[in-house]
Amino acid sequence: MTDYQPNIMSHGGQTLIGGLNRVYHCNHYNAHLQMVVRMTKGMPNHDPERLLVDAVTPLIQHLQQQHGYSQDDLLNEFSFCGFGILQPDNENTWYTPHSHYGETTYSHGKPDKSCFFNSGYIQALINQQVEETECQMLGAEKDKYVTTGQPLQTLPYLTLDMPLRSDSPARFDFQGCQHFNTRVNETEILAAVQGLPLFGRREGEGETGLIDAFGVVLTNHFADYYNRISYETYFAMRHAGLPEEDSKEMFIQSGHICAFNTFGGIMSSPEWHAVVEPMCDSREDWLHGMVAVINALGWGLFRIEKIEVEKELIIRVYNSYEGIGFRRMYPVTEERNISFLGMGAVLGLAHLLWKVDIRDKPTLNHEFYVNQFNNPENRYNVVQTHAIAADDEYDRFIVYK
Amino acid sequence: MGEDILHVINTTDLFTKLNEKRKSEHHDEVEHHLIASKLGILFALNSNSYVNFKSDFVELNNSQLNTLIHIFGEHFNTNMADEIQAMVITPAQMEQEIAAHIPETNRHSGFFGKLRSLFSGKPTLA
Repeated sequence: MTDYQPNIMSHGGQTLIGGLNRVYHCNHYNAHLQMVVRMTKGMPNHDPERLLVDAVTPLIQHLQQQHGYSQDDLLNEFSFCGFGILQPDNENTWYTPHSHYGETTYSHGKPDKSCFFNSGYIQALINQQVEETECQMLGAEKDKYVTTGQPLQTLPYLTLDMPLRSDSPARFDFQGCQHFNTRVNETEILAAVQGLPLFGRREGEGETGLIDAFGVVLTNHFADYYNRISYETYFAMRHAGLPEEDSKEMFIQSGHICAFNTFGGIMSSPEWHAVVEPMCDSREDWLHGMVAVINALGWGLFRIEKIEVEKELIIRVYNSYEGIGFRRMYPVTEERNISFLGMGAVLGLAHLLWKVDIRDKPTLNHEFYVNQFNNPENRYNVVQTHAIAADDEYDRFIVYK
Repeated sequence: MGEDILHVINTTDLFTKLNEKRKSEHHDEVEHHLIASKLGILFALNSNSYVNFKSDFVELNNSQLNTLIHIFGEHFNTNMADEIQAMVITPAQMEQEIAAHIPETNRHSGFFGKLRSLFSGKPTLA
């Protein structure tokens, strides 16, 4: 048996498979973001659950139409990217005996069907509208999907041209960058992370198509799926009259949770202790090390601009997946606090070193998150001063006391 | 009780009680400011009125209390009907408490000052 191996290209900090940016995110981020989107259920002219389904369909159709993906390619890639194992039963019925969304996500609310993404993926495969009828989240042995008999009504949404930058500055080599003295070697770290087996397998005994790593369950997800569901929900909240701060806060929290679980998990991992930690002479070197790792996640090209210990952290992101994605879907905005994942992630990174100290190897569980990491005491703030979405060259985040 | 009768709830007490009940039912605790953020959004979308749950106190009418109970059930998987009924107080009751226990000169500062300022204006409505 040969592992499925798609053609993966790295460009300007983004990871492209089938021409679409893919980004690693954990089950905690996926769960929290999906919970936020579903909070808007019941709003007039807005169906968040249909959004969660339909946002993926045009992306799969892009793979089929622009890159010649066959059904087998798509079933392999579903597993490769950590979504689980997708199986057709007959022309109207599909199953996922293992699925990221069915097994590893959660919400604060009543348990409910949760595999919207999988339904949208199947929709593209059979060109019909699909809904989930049974879910492991509700105790089913496997998630089940059936056609609704309704025609598919999804449209492409990446309709605007926004090329990736090829001239992003090298590390520490841009105007305004502080002089850093560090042994942390980004090139070595990038090579080490890119060599890790962060993919799922569809076939073979015991294979689940899930990616269990760093104490979380990862997906190598479609960046523009996240962008679409986030921004459509944000715009719906604003349209309903919700204050800007409240509307953004829940999305930023998703990024903060992501930082705690994924960054925290990485910084507690044997791989980190073997590769990165030996390069670190100070707590702030851990920031440099983690930023090097982030640059292998497909999120864009992260560049630290300034570190003032326990006071301020400034990070630029060239080709940020949120900024690029926004510009491919929407006109230029005047809002700058708009890269929600970036804001929460950079805040969370500072919290991992300056609010708690990840070097002390705390147990990264929910109790620690609630009582230590995310409690109001010694909390930092974050602001985004530059945004690709607002036609700036890069996203820029300031974490400050 | 009419719709215009307002009930005051201490949000810290409310969120603490929610977490106590969630934990007793083997659900994860939720941090207070996340509860407040979620409630602010869900309340606005479910009732077409905005209530700032990040403040120390909220005042709700009967219809809004029912909305709050519904939100706790659906979005926090916790039936809080009895707990909420047990912790609400009316502005008149609060005024009586203030008058009975606090000298006149101290009634406009600190905890009671916040309560008085709460009663001085209605919650912001979207």
